[in-house]
Amino acid sequence: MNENPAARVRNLIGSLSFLLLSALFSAFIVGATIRAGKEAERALQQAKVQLAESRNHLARAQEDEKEIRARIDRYRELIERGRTQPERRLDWVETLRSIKEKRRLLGMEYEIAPQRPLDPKRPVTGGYGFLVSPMKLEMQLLHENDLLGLLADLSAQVPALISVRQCTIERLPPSPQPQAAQLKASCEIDWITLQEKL
Amino acid sequence: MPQRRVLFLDNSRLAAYRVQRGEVLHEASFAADEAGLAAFGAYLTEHRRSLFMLLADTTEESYQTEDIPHTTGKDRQAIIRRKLAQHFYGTPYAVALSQGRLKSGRRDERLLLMALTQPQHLEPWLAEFRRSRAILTGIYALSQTVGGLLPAKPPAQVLLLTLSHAGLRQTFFDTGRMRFSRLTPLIHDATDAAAFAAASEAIKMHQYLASQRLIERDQPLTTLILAHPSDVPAIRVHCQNNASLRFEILDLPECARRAGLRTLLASSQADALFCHLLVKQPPAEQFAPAEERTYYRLWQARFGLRLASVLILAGGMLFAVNQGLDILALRDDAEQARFQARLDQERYAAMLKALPRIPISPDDLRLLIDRYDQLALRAQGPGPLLAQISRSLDVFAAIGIDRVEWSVVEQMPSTPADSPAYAGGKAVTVPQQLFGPHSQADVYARLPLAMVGDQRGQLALVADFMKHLSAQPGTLVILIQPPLDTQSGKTLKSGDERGAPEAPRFVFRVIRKLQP
Repeated sequence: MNENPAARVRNLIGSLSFLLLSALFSAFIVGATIRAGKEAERALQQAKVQLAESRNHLARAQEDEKEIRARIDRYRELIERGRTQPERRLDWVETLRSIKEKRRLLGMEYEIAPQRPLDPKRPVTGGYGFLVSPMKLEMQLLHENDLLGLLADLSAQVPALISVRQCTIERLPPSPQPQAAQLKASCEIDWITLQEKL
Repeated sequence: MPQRRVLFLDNSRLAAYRVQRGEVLHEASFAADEAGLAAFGAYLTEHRRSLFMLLADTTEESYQTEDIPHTTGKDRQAIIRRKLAQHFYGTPYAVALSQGRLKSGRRDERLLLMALTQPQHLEPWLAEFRRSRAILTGIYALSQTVGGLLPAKPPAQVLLLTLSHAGLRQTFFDTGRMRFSRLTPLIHDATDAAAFAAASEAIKMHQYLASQRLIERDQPLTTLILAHPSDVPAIRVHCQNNASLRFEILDLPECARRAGLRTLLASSQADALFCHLLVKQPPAEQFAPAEERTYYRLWQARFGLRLASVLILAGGMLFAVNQGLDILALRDDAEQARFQARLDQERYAAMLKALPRIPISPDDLRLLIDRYDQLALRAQGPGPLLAQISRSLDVFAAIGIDRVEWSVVEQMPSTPADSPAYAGGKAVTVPQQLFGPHSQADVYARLPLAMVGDQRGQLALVADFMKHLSAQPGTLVILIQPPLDTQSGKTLKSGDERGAPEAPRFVFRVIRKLQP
């Protein structure tokens, strides 16, 4: 029984190696499964988020179906009214002249500025760019209805959306002449059209 | 698990038994001569991985009782070493068994000192162990194992007689603790001889124990004889109860069955049962010095390391399996969630498909129409507000209008908080803010020339007009400039009565929220 310490350690090397390998293998297995578990949890969370989004999307869509249908009708109305057509200034000029003649307006001067984006900071909305052609209009009126009639006819006859930004109507000094203008109107009007952006 | 083997050593031979799962198999016997030792060495080499227990059943045993002061730790060990050296000088095979503390005096601890007093009987066999590097777990005396044969509730003092290949062993127990044991070799194996020896040795033991004051001389000593049923008649003939001894038979097969031994015993020699008991309940104390058990210590270390390895592996695998099951459940849940999401997306797509077809997406449609509606809301023009003003002027025909400044505003221009204001036909406080698009008109108006001198009438007419104008829901009317400012903080001047009179003038603001 003269085993020295070194010999005893040698005697145990196999078992120590086995213990070390077992510990390493177990650590590897445990680490790998923990990583896999975390990955699976992450995947589950992602799937839950995906599910919640699709649920919300669907629920919102179901709730908004009527609104969507109404918007579709509005969209079709836009198309049918020609709001998305390119502006045709010649048609506008002819329309203005036609209205003036039809309503026997006393005097009408206008100036249409170059077309520009309505929202420079947001050039595209819903796939369309909103364009505006501002117009300054000055008229001599017998009655305020001359102005309101002009605006109504214009809205009805041109494809563009006619949006009056401001109007000033002022009474003129009395004139001895019959059929003389009683009022003077000065308006700023936007001709708004839509242009599809691809 | 390692194989366990018991080497049953008596004065004439060494018998090797393999003990496994309740069975005891005699493998070999070796005589204490050169050839026997050589064969024993080969046997050990062949079974180097076994755990060997050496069970000595020899006549050269000694038992001494000693009372020592109650101590613990190194002091106790030192006292025990000194006591063993005093009593058993010359043998390293000695142990001390604690028999508990006395109930009187200093309450000393009682020790039973035991020794195998002829080391030269053991040395040749142990030398073979060293040569073969076989694993010796310990050396035990047979008397250490027979206690397991006592009945569950033995008499306070009992003498147990057992037979083995070596002879007849008599072991005395006091309150369940072994106090003395000795072996009487039997010359003849005949049953009669054994029965006769049992009777005579029991008497001698009684006399010895009485002389040692271990028992009362006039009290009969219960003597249990472990015997095979085939030997019982002969024992009954020789072992008759008397004033000193009261004999009882312990049925050997029954004891073996109770101990879990599955090997059948053919005679009263219970060597196999002793081997079985030794393996089943190894005594806490053994005789082998530490250096004889080096390989056993190494085996224990290896076993511990391997057990730890297996436990670590098993723990790791169990964790992995558990985690794996969790992962499978998580993946299943995730797959379910993805499946549900796909279903929802399909339903969403189906719903969209059912809608009228347009070339833009629903999101773009929403943005486009919302923006267009905002613009359309602001494109109502001055008509509605001017018409409302006209209706009020129709009622208040005395009031004339000189100028109207109409515009669409997102916020109300700042107005003095103390300006008279009307909403819903009643006087109100000027609101600080109005949000959202509003149609607004600043109207410059005049009163009839006839009211020049009627300041009170001017104010009343203007107030009535504004109340009427504001009666339309959603309309706010604010008097920006009254025909006559009567507030204490403003300057009030008279008119020039010599010049041409001017019609009183006032300015009011009409604001109405734009409605789709």
